[in-house]
Amino acid sequence: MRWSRSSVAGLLLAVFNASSAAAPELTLQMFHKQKYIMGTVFEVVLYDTSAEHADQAMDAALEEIVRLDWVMSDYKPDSELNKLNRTAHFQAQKVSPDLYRVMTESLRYSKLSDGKFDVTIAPLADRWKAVLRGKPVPSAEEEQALRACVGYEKVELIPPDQIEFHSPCMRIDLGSIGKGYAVDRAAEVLRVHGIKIALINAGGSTFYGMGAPPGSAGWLVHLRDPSQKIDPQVTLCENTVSTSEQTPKSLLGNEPAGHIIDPADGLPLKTSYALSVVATSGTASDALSTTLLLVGPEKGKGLVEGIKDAAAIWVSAEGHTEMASTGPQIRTGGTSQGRSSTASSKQELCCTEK
Amino acid sequence: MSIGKILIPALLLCGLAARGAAGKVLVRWTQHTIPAAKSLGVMEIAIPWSSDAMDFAQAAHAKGYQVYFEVPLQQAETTAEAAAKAGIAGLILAPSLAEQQGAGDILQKLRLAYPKVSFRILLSNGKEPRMKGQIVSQRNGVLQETSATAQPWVESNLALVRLAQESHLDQRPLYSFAWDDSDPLQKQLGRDAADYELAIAEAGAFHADLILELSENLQKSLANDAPEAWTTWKQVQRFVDFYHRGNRDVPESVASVAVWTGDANGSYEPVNLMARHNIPFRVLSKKDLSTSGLKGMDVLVYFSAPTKEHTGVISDFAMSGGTVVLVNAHGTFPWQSTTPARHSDQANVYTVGKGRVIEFSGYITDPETFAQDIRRLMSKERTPVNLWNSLTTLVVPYRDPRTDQIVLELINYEQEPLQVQVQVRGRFASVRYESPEQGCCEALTPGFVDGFTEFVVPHVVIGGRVHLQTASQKDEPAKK
Repeated sequence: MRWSRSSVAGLLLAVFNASSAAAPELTLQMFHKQKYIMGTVFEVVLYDTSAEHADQAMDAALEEIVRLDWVMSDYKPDSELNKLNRTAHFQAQKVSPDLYRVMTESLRYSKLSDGKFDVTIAPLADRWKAVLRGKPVPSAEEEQALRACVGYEKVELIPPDQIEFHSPCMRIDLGSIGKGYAVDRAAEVLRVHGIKIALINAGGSTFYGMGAPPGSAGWLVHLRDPSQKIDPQVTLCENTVSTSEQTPKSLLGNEPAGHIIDPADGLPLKTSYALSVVATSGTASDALSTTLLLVGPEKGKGLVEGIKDAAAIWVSAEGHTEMASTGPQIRTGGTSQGRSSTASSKQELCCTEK
Repeated sequence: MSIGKILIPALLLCGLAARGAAGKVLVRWTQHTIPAAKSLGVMEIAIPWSSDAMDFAQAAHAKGYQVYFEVPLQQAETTAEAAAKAGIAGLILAPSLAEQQGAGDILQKLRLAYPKVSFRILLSNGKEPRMKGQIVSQRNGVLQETSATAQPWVESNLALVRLAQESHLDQRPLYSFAWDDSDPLQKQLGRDAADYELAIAEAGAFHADLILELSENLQKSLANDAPEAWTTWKQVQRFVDFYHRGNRDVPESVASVAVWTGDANGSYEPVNLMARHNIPFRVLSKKDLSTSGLKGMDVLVYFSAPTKEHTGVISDFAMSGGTVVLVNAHGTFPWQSTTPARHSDQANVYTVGKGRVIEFSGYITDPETFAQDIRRLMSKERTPVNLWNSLTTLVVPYRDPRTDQIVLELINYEQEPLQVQVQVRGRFASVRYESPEQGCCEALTPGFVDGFTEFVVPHVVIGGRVHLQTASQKDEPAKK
């Protein structure tokens, strides 16, 4: 039995079924499963009393993500998204509820961020990814032509289920929101299977914490710290955290590039920050992480202030931090720097309920 | 303790080990009974040395096995004497870290004293091959760390093998690893066939010998003739056979990146990451670091301060169009007489003839970024092989020196069926795929783009092999 497929960790906790004094004592065990999907490793950790039931639940959750990969992938030629990318320039296309929902959310964050978050960035992003693979940087003319293909305003959502592009060269890339959406759907699948305590990890960039592990207030997650001085942490309980960071700079002085493109100038974002954001759904935290990295802490704090139950931390390579919160606590170096003490009470209450 | 620190002395010792070893799987047997060699399908076993090992070795020998003792270095001499008298096939020396510096001398003495006994040095610091997620189980729960979306982490032994293989051409590396059973239930459940298959596939694809550790449960069950255990083992046997068959011809590896590891301590992790990113590299031996030895190479990565002799080779290589990356090479060199064409915090880039020399001034603290930098420096048209959408798969290209045919070994660390898109430099009319599960051979349809042959392997589960032939090779009768 491979740890990589499915296994049970050594943390065994006896729990007592309070509904009946005569009921047998059940052993709550921790299970883990992982699968390579969407170009990264998705992992599910959950607590349950039955290995068989846990296995079924984890399989179902991971299969849901596999299914969504066929909806949202820009790598699979036959994915629903790629079919849309090939045809929506000509006329409105009917799409699945998942694709319609994730596009609706995408455009919502585009409006919220005045276009900093933009899933139509694909033509530019792909060109800069090619630079990362060794191609020369695009000329000004090429860049201008590609920028003409970009713009969320050129996407029309026609309720209840149609999408049309108003640009002949537009393409959608859901890389900045798709994994978060997939994590939300996987969490739903776990709930349908009766799972109450679980953690879902989408390749390290988005974590979803359901309930709290026995004996704890939630799922402790250390956040990305490029300075290695701050050690920011969050305890997840019925919420999510996502992290965004620009591709590391070349060590050998190669041409600058990066996978996060600023729609404002069409160029790879220059920032030394890593940004982590806590929200109530994976879709939200995933989309916000790109958005807040792009807008930076000055404007980003204002954005966070307008979102219920959200928190964000920017950590620079030098160890400078900026934070904002409307509830969840992000602790640094073992100390709490979240501004709301009620957020703490709320988290503990949330986890006590489980 | 860095793996590099363990590695260097072990590699030096490998050069002194026995010649002529085949690419084989040896099973490490720790139980007191063993099924017949013919049933197990593995003819060589390694027995950890103990006071009663000799009795068991003779019993195993009677069942058809060639028996090797794994011995700590300090017991090597007494064991060798007993082994020579008892007709034991050989000794596998497993020096501890502290013993490694002196092990070469001991080995030479043993060889002289016991010429009929085979001696090999074990690289005991291999890693369990696997694709890893990020979740780390800890006593108090689960520790996580967020990041930008990470590529799957692949634990592979390719760097370990390559560093040993190319430095010491007179023998195949022999390595072993311990299964990570830090989780008690994992330990209790043991390993399944796919775990053993991946370990065998990896060693076979890298053309190395492996001492495979079987779980106690599996050993006992096989010895007790338990049907379930034999069902598992029969699956594993397909991999033993497949990779033993594939290794007979010993083709040479194909590479466009040359690596000189003057300082193996500092080079192990960057080389490990280069392996993980499917950069086709070759670790140079002393005789290979010459103008002729670098022929056909695109990039030279040099992990130390160049000697005067090597400075000339480096200049020649760059003059003829190569790219040289010098790591932590402080000193005065001829190319520094010109102004750097580019300059960054840690790197100076000098144009030298048709090529360039890049001086990187520090130690490599981010091997992942370094490996990706090396990939960007490779010229596309000279890259022997590329994979797409296959982040859990390693590819190792070989060329058969007699026929010039290309062979690709593929290993999928996810152990789930994967469609792998491949691009190979050259024009190949015939592309055939074989695997332990499906046998030989499925014809794949090649396409031709810009001097490359492109094709899709539809179903790589754990390991497989692609054979590529040009039109003229295809028309030639098969050579033995």
